[in-house]
Amino acid sequence: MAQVQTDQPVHSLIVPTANMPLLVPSASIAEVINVGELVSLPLTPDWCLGVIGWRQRAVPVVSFEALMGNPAQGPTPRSKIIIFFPIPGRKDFEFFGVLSSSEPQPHTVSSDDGLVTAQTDSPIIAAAFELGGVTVGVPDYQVLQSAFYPDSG
Amino acid sequence: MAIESKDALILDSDGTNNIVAWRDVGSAKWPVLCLDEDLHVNKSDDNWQRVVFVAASPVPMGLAAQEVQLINNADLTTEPFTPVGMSPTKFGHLFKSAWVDAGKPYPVFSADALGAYLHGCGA
Repeated sequence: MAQVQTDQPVHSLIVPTANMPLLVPSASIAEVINVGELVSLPLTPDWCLGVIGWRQRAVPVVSFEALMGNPAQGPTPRSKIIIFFPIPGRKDFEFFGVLSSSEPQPHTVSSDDGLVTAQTDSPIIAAAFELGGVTVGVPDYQVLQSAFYPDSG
Repeated sequence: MAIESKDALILDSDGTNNIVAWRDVGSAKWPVLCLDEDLHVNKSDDNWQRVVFVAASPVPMGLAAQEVQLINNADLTTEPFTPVGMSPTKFGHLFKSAWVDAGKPYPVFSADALGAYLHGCGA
């Protein structure tokens, strides 16, 4: 394990999932919303839970548990949907949602956190850290892009 | 391309294919498929009443439906939409736009992709 230094504090959200909580920059998130009507979308992978209507757009919602190879978790009364801005380089309407098991928590990552790298064997996680005694994972956006838009090469 | 009622079609009860009916247009016959909610072929569903035909090659393909409701263009505002995952046809994803009404999303078929998909299901 190695200590990680952060030059600048990074405003982040810790997104709870049934497996590893995700650590994502707040700047990558457009909104956190309640789970509304989730409409199933035929012929999509198991990790796509369906689409929701958000700001007059259809937004696909994915299960990070399923993306990591575990069974997909459906929404519960405590669940939220985290709406992410499109992955850099993608079309400006390609927002996507991630189902969280409860309300995400804001956290400013700084050198005071004493971040220590942790092991992860999931290709969808770029890096994992011990944060407050919990292992959190940072999603790998390039791997996500390959999973979401495999036809784009 | 066209909407037709069930009683104007030739029903197909042959258990060896996926076609539920045909539309005889003289020079050709246009096949009709019945799909379930997951868009898989469901030949055993006999509750359909109408068929929507879409352009496809070499002949138009029909999609059976229990009910068809026409919506005025003025009442329909679609936004571009990209489903996630591998697209099922050579024309890409079946849905390339969506209409959101009262918070509920309605993915909108791409006619080219739907025609290709139906053709693939009926082949």
